Amino acid sequence: MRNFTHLRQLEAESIHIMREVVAECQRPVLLYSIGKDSSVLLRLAQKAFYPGQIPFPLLHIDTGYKFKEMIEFRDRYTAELGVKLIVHTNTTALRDGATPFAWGTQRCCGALKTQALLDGLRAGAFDAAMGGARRDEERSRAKERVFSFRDTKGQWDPRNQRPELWNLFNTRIHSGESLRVFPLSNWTEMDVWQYILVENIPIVPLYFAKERPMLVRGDSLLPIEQPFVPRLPGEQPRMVKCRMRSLGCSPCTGAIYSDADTVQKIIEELVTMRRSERQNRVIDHDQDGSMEIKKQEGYF
Amino acid sequence: MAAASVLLEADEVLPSFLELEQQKDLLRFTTAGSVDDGKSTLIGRLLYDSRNVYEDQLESVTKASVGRNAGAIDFSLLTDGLRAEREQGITIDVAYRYFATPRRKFIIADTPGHEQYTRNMVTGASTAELAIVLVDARKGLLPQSRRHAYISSLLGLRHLVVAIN
Repeated sequence: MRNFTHLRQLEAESIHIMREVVAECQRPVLLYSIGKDSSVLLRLAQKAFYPGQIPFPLLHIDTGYKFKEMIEFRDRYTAELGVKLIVHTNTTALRDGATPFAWGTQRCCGALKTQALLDGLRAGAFDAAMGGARRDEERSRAKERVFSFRDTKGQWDPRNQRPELWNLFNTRIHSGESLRVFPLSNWTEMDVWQYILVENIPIVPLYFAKERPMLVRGDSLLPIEQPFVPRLPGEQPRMVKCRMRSLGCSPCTGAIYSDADTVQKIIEELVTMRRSERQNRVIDHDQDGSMEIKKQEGYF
Repeated sequence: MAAASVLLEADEVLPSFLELEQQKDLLRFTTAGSVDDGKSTLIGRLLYDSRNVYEDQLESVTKASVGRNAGAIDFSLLTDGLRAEREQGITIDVAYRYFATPRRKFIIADTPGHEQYTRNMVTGASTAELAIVLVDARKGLLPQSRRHAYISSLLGLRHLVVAIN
């Protein structure tokens, strides 16, 4: 490891983690969110098992409110790679009218993401779910082990995490229990973008700046893909040159003003960025410690 | 991040910035020492002074610092990411933080000082190459300071820095 640059060290660590999962777990799955981190995960998975195929399926929890461009990208890119894609949606909640405006973000996320994820994992009887979460994203994520234990209800107990020494990961679980595994734990947002550049990894076009129709409210740019996004009296969308810094459900993900239309320019923009990546994600701020609470309940 | 922004004033500098980034190596280090000797505060301060804290994170910490008797900004709140930790004012489990200077990337493991959470300190120290053992000058070397120094050497850490607070 000594002579590796930081990026190659991170890559080697992530590949080791993925191989460990495949060697030790019965039914692993990769949680695919279509974002830039997921794209990096896929590249790492290709490398880890090359020239073999990626030996686990992808699971996408589709809330029904993802951007259209995300879904197009998902279907095209996974077909290209020849991986098996499972899509799970909480159709019951959608039928009952779940939207962040009607139900509030906590209840909406709880049903469409957390519940859907737990159901999706149970349906496939998966014992290990790999995801692209990074410790630098949010302060409760900064606390989580690489191999993170979940009880039979899929819940995380942050006060009782397992020891995890060196690169020896504890994969022992009883039936019904499971692991969440985070191969990108030690990557930063900057590392991810540099890797995308160096490896020329395909990502959803929403990350690149373009004129898009947005509701402009103070500093916030709100996408209007879903017809139920409430408008203020007389409010009309305006064309704004902007991009997404992180991707989620369109009603709950704000865009940022930007001219960055290449990966290089995004990296340049990142260097001067003064606010964190998830500040445009409404769901992280709906209560104190909100990510920690969601994670305890089983959120990814 | 801001330290690197100096390098990036003109567009044509970006390729050389990336080249520089590709040459950076990585140092993983950990804090150690007894409870309340200032480990989390040191890390928070380090992140703040090297301008690796985003504005919105600082705002939320400044807001939460009111009434905590630790100055205008309680720097420990930057790494104490669990609700139980913020309520009790202690670190329970290891937190990982990331920052970079123009020469190097750093991964810091901020570990708990409490005896009952020593196993979490072990987890944090195991992946580090260097440990900073913090000592509160008013209290001197405590059993936990020695224990953490011993565990660090037991785990094979070759570099120990003793920092007197």
